[in-house]
Amino acid sequence: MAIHLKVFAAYLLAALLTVSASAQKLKYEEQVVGKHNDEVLGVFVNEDDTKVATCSLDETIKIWSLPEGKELMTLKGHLGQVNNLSFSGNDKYIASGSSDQTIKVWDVETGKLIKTLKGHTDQVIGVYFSQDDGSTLIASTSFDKTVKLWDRELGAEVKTLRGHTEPTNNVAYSYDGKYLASCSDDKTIKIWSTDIGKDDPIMNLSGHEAPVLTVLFSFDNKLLASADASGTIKIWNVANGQLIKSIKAHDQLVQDVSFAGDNKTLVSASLDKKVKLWDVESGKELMSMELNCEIWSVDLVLDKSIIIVGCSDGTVRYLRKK
Amino acid sequence: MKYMIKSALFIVMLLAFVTSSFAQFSSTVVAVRGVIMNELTGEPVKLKVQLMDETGKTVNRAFSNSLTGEYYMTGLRAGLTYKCRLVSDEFLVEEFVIHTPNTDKYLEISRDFMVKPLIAGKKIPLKVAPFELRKSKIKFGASEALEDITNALKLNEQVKFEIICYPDSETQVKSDPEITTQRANALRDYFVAVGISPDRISVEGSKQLDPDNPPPTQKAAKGKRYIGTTYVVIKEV
Repeated sequence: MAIHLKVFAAYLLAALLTVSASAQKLKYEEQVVGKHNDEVLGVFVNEDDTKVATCSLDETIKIWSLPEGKELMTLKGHLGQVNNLSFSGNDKYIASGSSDQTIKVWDVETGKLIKTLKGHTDQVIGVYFSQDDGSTLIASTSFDKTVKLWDRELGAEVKTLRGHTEPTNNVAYSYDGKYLASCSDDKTIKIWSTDIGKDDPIMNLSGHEAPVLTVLFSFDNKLLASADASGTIKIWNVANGQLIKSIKAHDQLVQDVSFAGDNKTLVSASLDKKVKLWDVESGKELMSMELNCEIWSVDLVLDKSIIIVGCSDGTVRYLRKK
Repeated sequence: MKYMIKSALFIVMLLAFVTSSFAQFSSTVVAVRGVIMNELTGEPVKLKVQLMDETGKTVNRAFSNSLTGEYYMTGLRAGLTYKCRLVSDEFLVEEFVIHTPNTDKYLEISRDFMVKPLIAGKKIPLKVAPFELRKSKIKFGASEALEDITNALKLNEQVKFEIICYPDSETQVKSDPEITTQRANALRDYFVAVGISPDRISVEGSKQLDPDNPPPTQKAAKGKRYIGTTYVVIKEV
């Protein structure tokens, strides 16, 4: 009996040491790097991890340096809150979507407004540049229930994708440029071909029980992550549309998730004030950190050394790995 | 002398290049496709779509499909500006500008339109608030957001309308009860300044929250920030 107890204690100690070691690996230190005048709604890190852009209810976009956290510029021009933004694959441009029903394209170097794209008939909620360097396409979602594709160079609306029955919340291109994923208040995700000649979705993914607020492909294009208004994250196999993992991740809505460069780690943040890292294969929570603000948006650098969060108190915070 | 001839030749070649490029673009065909919907109900609408070039000449016309609202028009030229006029007895006449992109390949572009019912009593909400939260002045740059409604009111001279503004919150009703009247007046002044007759406009600043679109009671997903609604209400048609 005593031997069994000793063995059990040894196992327990080993397990505790393992947990403590892994927890030590994933400790982050919080730093407020700056502030918008109102809630921060979107965060996007550029391709080479040197800049992060944020957008806000204050109708502006700000660009910050990475890893320093220095505010580089403020972009003004939208007539309503800026709901989301995205760097182009070559990091030269930012596209932003706003309640003023427009998408604006900005030059990252000069901060100049290059184009205003009009065509949505309601607020623009999501916007995403094709990450393919050779592509000039931008996708957007809106309360008007459509997904629209725009050509940055031509300044034209080149396609409207219809099929969602409620407002569309967010959109993402796969990194190989082949697919586009959109999500909606109708609780579904649709995967579309980027072939401009095709009108219907390739796949309809159902399973969420609340409005789906965001979608994102992994860098290797094999996985799709989605998150909803009940705090659930789902991981899908892009090849066949099968649900791989469903995680009850947060107590409140999750507006944003992002993959790390290893394609296995996902960061999520929520209005429940928590930022969490997940192993998408096992569904295991790798890190959880509570901040003193509700979080709308999150992104991270490829090696996970910095997580950037946009908070409802207007602050932009860097969580640096210890 | 030799230098002058060279310069002249260069200019001629440059002009030829620019002219041929322009000719190439302007001969490229562009098509436009989209859906026309009732702005208040989101239902598809059947109406006449008339396409006019920069000189005002009609270059194409079509009807949108009554079941789907879809329309399709081809024969537009690349790099030009067109006016798309939407005509129906049941809706305000509206005109929208379409710029076709400079392209040397056939291109189909997309454009959806929302039209406003021409029925007395109908309340047309301004989807982009021309005011900032808790402020009564029309915000800088709002003319861009007001462009469609301004054009529609200008094109339909027979229509008399009322501007109704609702407060941002219950708190505002108590702390700043005059803000809605101030907002309605500011918008009337704006419409008058851009050429709409003041005789056509009446104003109302509501002291109650908008019954059709009240402020949300809890924090929802983004994009749902609330600024008291402003309506243009059709009074006489």
